[in-house]
Amino acid sequence: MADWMLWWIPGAPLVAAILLACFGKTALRGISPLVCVAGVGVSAVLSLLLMFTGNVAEEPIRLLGYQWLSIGDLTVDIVLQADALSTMMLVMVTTVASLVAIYAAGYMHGDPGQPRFFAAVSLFVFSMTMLVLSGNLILLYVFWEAVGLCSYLLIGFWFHKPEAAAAAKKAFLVNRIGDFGFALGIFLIWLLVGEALNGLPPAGQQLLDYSTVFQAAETVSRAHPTLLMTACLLLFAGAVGKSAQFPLHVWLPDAMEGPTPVSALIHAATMVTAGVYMVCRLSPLFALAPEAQAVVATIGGITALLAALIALTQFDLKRILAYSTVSQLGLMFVALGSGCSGEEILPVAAIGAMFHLFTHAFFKALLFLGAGSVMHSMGNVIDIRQFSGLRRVMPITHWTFLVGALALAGIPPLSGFWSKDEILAVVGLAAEESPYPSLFGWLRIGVLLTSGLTAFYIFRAYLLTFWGEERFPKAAGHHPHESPPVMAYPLIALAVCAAGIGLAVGPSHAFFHFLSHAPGLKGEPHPLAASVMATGTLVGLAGVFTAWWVYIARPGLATTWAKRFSGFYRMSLGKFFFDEIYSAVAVKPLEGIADTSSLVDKSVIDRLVDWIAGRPALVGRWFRKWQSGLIQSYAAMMFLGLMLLTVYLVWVE
Amino acid sequence: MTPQLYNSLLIGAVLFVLGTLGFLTRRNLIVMFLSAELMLQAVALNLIAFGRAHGNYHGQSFTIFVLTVAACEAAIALVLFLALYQRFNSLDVSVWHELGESDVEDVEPELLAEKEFFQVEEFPTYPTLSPAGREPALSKSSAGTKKGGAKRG
Amino acid sequence: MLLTLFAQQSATMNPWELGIPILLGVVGYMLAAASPQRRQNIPATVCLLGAIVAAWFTWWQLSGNVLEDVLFTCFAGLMAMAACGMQVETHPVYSALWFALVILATCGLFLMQGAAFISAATIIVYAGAIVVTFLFVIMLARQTGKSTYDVRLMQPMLAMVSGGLLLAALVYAIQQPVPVASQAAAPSVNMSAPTPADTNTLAVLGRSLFVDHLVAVELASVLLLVAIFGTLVIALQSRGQAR
Repeated sequence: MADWMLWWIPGAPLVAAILLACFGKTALRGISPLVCVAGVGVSAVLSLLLMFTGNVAEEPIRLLGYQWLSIGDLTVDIVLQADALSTMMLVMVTTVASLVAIYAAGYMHGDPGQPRFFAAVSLFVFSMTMLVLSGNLILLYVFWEAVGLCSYLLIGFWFHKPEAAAAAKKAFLVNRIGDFGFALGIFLIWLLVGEALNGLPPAGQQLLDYSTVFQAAETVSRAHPTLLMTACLLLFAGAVGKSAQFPLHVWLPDAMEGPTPVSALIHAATMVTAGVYMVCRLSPLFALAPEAQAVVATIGGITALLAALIALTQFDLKRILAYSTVSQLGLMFVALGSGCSGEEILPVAAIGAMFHLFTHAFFKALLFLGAGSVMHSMGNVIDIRQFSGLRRVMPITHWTFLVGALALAGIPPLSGFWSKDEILAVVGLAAEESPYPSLFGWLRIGVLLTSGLTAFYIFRAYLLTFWGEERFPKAAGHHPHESPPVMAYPLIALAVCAAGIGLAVGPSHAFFHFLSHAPGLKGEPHPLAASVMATGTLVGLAGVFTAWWVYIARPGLATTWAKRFSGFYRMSLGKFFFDEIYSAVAVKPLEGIADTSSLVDKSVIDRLVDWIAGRPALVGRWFRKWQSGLIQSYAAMMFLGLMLLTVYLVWVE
Repeated sequence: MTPQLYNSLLIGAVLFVLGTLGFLTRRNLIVMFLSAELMLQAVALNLIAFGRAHGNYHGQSFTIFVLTVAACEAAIALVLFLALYQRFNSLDVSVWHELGESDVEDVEPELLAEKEFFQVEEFPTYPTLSPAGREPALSKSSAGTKKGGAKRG
Repeated sequence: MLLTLFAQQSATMNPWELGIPILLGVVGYMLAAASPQRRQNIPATVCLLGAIVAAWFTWWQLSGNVLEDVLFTCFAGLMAMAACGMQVETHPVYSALWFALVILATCGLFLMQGAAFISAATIIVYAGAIVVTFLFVIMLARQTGKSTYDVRLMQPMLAMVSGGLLLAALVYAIQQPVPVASQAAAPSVNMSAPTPADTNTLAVLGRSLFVDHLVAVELASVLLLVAIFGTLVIALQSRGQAR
């Protein structure tokens, strides 16, 4: 694996993005999907090469681009760092992205903004690969913002739709809240590490490189344990924003206004996992702040349960999947937080979270692309009440969606089962060994409940869509059809991955052994426990069965239950009214302040400025009488001045 | 200060002020230009007087430069007057006031004059054909007596 | 400002001495420059001449050399009268002729100050070249008779007030004693200083011009060249536009 190849992993999508941005509407018109797929594909092939041929795990690659800036004792390099964790993320991002790009070539066919779309997707892949490859916190932050920007561009891709524009704005603003905390966290880390090392990083490293931070972490935690915990919490705030955790989860469901491939790529599979990746990458730091980890786990648990409850009653297929994503990300954070139980458990917990992230990327992308396929066929209708019984019309979509649903529900031997099992095991361990046994006891119940609810809502969506009598909305036209091959093949490829990948790397602990070479994750895998596996499977099956019972075997039962638990039903349907609460608590008062400011600005400041601006005009009105254009009036002024000068000179003398 | 120098400076000042007066009040471009030349002469007088007082020839050298500049000025100014005259058929300087503020009142010198110290009365019209280039008697009588203008007007 | 001017006046001159000639001149000018129907030629002439005489009485200093005093006074008076006539005259051709007279008188003053070459050059340049050119232009412009703008003046009050004040300030300034510093300062930078034996003033002037002021002479020659070309360009352009 030559060094130049590593540069081309982010480089190829960047070149594609630049080409599409410059020539997308002229020279490359019509072949813009091809350019994007080529760029992302090169990146994917190189990532796979990196994983399988290079010995990255044992010998991390570190490539110095150039020194970006140097301020005082802070030097920031453009540096690529490829270790086990980065490689794993690279493979996931680029593989899913290339499949989604191929799918999007069909999905976006005929859209006038196609070049813009593919340029943004390429730019996103570039940013995301740079994010996982960056070797220091500043670079991480830069590309953290860059993926946020791409997300904004793609959510608002159909910017003429007011909802899409509003959703893009909302996503960007909500992310800003988290990113503000993230930035503060980085500054605090800089301060702490700089103090611990007296501003002198080890030779060849810079102050905010991961390795430097990890080396100094021990010193820092001894000197300032509280500050370190604060720093960890601030960094986690960034993750909460980016990974849509409670209380900043509100942007993700709205982000479904973007094109479906974007939802699959950015808002399910890759970008939202950046928060998980960041917490995992910094787990040596979090390991020194168990309180922060407990907070991480708690937030994750609340999010997981809350999102699962909301997903129960939604009718928008993409929104169900969005809440499912939020819920699954919550589970990952629970696993990450469980690392507070001790040094042996930390690697198991972090790698468990990463494993779920890895498998989740595939099956969630699959589910989203399946939903996109349904939407494509139904004429952009996504409300599951308006169609049903699609399994004969769209066999490929049906089967692949089923695989994804089973994986999400955690049914063995599909990939979701293996990763969810890891999480259940880790939470179980934490309940026994962590300093917060009761908290993790509750969290274990919460995780189990979430698993059951997950299985229920995904099968509710699946059954309502693909079973029952055949019904199509009017928008679908006379003849609903299966999606074209360019969309079907990525679905099949993703289905194969979603089905097999867990079995391939889960039971053998191959994933664990690969990832344990990453800094701070060195450890031994926890043996698989039959009891945990059985519990997880049973809960999942129970959820599936309940869904079948409610929606197929006893149609009408759902309505009865909705009436019986009408209070809860309405809460869930209204998404627990987070948007309304935020609107009342934050948005409306801020708007009030803004209106007041605007009023003051217009009526006081503007008037004052106008008044002041009017004074010179008054003086000017007086003086302009002399600006008659007659030479002699100007000459008269000159001579008067000459006279005054003479008088002045004589007088002074 | 010798009396000679003093007197020269005095004459220079008088000449300068008279030139100023002409430049400010006369509206004929050529007469304005002559007034400017008058001011230059006043300066030349001062230069020569100072040169003599100091006992060297710098003053006279400078006077030669003044002469040079005056000659250049005359050449350029006269050709400009010619061009302007061809444009508007008038040597009145107040015709050219496009650079002033357009909406300022009292730009027209006729209007200006009304507000001045002197009362404006109707100005006698001249006959269009003056015999043999001689000054018509009318204008002399108007300058001298008041009745001549009133009759023709 | 003016009050302080008078208040600080030195003992050599009182306000009346400064003011009377100026006032007389102003009155004369007002009479001469009034609107055509009110013009009073004879009182105006009397006033202006009176102003000149008053100025001679109040401001003039005698050197003691009778011939010089007489000649100086004559030239100065002639010059002042001619200048007044030029400003009062309503016909541009007569104004030009008055101007020529002013130049002649000035040249006489030059001659008295030992500047024979300058006086000759001035006569040649002004009386010879410039006045002829003026007359040429006036003829070219076909100035038949007087125009309105030759008779009506532009803001005579403003001009008279500022001119009178300027003259007062200048005369007052001239009459102030010269500061010691500037009196003593006689920097002899001229490499071509005239020797007592030097009687050929033209040779000395030539030396001064081409030794002390060589660069300025060259610049002046360039200026003349540019002026010639500029004249040609403007003349040709305006002729093209006129057609």
